[in-house]
Amino acid sequence: MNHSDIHDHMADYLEGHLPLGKRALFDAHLDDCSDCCREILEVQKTITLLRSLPEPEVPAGFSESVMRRVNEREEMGSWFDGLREAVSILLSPRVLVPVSVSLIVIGIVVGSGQVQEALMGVGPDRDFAGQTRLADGAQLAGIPVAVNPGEAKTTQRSRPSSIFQIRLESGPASNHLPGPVRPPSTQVVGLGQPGPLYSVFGNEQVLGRRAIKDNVFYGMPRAADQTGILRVATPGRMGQADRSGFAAPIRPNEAQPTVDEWLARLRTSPDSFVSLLSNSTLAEQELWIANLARHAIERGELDDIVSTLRESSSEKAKLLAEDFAAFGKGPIAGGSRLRNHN
Amino acid sequence: MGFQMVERGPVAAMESANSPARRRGVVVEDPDSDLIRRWKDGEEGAFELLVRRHERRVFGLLMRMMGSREEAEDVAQDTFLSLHRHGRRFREEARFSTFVYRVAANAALNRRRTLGRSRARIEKFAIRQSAGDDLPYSPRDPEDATAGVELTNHVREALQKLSPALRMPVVLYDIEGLAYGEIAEILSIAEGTVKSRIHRARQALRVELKSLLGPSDEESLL
Repeated sequence: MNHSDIHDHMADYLEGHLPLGKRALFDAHLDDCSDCCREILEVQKTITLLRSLPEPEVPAGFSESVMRRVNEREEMGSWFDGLREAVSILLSPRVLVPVSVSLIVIGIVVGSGQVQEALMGVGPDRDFAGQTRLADGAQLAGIPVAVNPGEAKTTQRSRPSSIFQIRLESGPASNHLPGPVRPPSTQVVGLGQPGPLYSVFGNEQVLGRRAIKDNVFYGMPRAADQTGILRVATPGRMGQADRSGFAAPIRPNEAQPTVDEWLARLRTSPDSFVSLLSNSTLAEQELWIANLARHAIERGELDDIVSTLRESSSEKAKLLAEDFAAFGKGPIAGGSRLRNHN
Repeated sequence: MGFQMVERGPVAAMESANSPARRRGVVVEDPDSDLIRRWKDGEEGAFELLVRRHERRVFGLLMRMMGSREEAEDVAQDTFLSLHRHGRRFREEARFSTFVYRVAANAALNRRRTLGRSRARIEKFAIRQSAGDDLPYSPRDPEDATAGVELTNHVREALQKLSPALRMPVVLYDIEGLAYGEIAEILSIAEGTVKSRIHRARQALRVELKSLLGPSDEESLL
């Protein structure tokens, strides 16, 4: 017998099932092989340990509990039987067919009215209960926004009338985030292009987060969104525009801090900046940090900002310092460290 | 109706090698047949008696498989509810206890699949606990309060580290004392597969429990 045979016959050997001849060979191998001998002893002790496990005590009142649940289910079962009978009657052809036909007719009548209403452009405010259109200079959540209802533009792409475009006079990417103000652009970019993401709401429905590149914003509205108000939540700011037809441009208030002002504010009053940032979403925080860090690197101010933040008494400022320091080594992954403090 | 009493596992084998119960081919009456008949005739009290008769082995198996009393109790309840729902269709081709084990084993394996994520969470907690980050271990079972708690815990932990596919046969064989054939029937796998899994499980446990096995004592074997 070799080691492999020992493995193959170990169970039978331990249980005394090995024929006498094989057992003699087995024993002979064990006499000569201390490794197999040790192994078989250890397996035997392992079995003994398993058998020594105390028998678990069944929880008190277990069978009563089972029977209680059995009875509850049986009571429920009789109720279900009644329900099943009622459903089977409702689903029988003599009931189901007339009811289905009636519902389809009602749906066609009501639906056609809505479609016609939407096509005629009547009742545009119906979907915006409580919403009023913003006038130029109005404030939204304390933030002044400028509304320019002109220059709406639509594009026809692969799915006609399913894609709208907003051309921004001055992109929020450069106004709401630090950066140079870019000139208006009508450059067409495809969907899914990389760029900052903005939360978009149409008719108070979340349309999702969309990319804005070179001041051009694309979205895919549903039929119900063809008229009404479009809201774009930009990082730290929210603009609102009248969207008659497809879309209207959003022109944020021009009195936005410049990049230099933001960087100065970061150095002189890190706590207020951190407080502002803490109220933003994680994606927005990343955008803020990425933009500011990029500009700080361009200006050679990153190290200065990092050390200023590190010296702050605020724990959040210290975390922010590490975000900026990390950005100096490459894009930060996994979001800002502030997230755990929101 | 007759039933074939199959060979027993090593629990019986080690204790009484010549026990009549170990001899193949002994035909015995299923001890549950009378209760099953009464239950099928509509006597709910008979089902309660069946629960009482089998609750220990079901709970024991599930404790080994699930690793916690709460989960074991939960799955044990599901097992008996399932038995109550489908048990009247039991055709008495095997022993009722085999049928009970099969339902319990399926319930345990199904539950373990759904508990994958929470299990991972528990394991993380255990790692943190061992690193001293959390409260010290507190005994969950009355039996833990007795001597040998540490040893018991080591063996339990080693069992929990086995995959369910290996743990189930070794628990049924080495702890519950079932025979290969019965385990094969319960798990719907070949008898050879049962033997192979038990061997692999024992080897894995041997490695895991090496520190508890002590120095080899060749004399005790020969």
